Amino acid sequence: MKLDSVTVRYGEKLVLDRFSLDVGLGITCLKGPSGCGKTTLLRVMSGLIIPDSGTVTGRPGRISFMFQEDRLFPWLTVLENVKLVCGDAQKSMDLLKAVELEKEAGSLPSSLSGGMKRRVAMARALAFDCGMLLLDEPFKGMDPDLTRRLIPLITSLDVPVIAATHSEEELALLGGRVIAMEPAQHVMKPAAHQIWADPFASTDTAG
Amino acid sequence: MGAAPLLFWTAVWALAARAVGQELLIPAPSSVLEHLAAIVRDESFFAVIGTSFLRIICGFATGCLTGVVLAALCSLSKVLKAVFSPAVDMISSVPVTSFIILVMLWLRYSLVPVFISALLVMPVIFGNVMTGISQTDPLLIETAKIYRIGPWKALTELYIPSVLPYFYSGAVTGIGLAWKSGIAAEVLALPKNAIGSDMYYSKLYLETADLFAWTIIVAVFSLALSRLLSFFVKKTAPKAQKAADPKEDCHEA
Repeated sequence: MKLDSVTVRYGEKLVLDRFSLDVGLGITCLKGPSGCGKTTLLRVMSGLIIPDSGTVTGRPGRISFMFQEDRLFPWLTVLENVKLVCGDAQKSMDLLKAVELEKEAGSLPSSLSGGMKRRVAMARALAFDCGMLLLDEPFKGMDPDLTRRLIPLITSLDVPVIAATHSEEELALLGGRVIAMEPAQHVMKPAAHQIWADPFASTDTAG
Repeated sequence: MGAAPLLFWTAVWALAARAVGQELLIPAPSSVLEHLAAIVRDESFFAVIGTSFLRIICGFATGCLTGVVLAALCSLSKVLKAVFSPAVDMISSVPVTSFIILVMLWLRYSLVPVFISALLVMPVIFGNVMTGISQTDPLLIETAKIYRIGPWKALTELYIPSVLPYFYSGAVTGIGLAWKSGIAAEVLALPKNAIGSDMYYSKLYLETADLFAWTIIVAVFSLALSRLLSFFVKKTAPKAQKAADPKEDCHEA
């Protein structure tokens, strides 16, 4: 997927300013403070937001998106929530085992803790047969040990993965390249996003 | 109503009857009780109650079905919404007696209570289902879009569970309305085997105690139906109820 000079505004507020990026196989991490446009960038990639200007090319037909909110269907059980996107009960159960939630398969989301809901959302995102996986703060509310155990589920995928996070530890564990973002409205230079090398991964430039 | 308030209001009624002293205007509770027993013992009682019940339930079901279908169509099309919403508002604001008299010109008298019940229930269900559809969580709609959930699954797994609590809330209100308006239609249309017809004849023959007795029967049935429906809703839809309780902006008649 290639983003070329993408600009997004919410009313007067400039969120992405002429942002360019190439995404290929492997993991690409987006890091930066809250409000710097990570979620907006993921939404542009998913096709949920059409940029005010610029182009997005090479978008796969099916994109899985683990949103910042859990967005579980409250009237469906944990297993039903996962099965909803793939139609395969066995695959859903296997993924619930992978996120250590097989005992909660028959529970409603309302009975789960925040971290558990996050894992259901992760299992659902992984269950969807897709050409690209977008993850918005995927490990929010999970303890570091659990995060470490779940990381291989993401790193072993053979589709491009774009993950937004502001945790340095998660960035280190996920590996891959890191795109550092800053709030667009504070950037006065034509190059909208200053990109710098990540201490844990290969250097990359964008913007 | 608990036992204490019931006793209190029966005492007020008994005192009022004694103060007025005319059975024709306010019959005493004991007299109404006697008439009530006589009505219940009458061999036609169950035919009368059963037929009225059947008519009203048919009207209620028709009103629910029409309300749901119309709300679904109006949610899909702005044009249909622009056409039907004012019509439904108008139905809600026209006095029920105007409709009863008008419908008596069009339909067999036995069908008038069915039509009137349906007509009164439809706007309540329409309003509630429209609210339910508009209150469907936009984040879940977006999620369904991302995960390519097809229209049928979106309907059964997203929209229906979202709307169900609003529908049930409307149905509980609607069953009381259907009962009251159906009886009112029977009073004017006078079909055979009808509570409303018997009420009318009680009034005609100045049998005020009978009129009171029938009113008690109607009130008890209306209350029992609403309670029964509420009970049924709690039993059949615990998940949907737990997940999305109706908001305060539900249309209440």
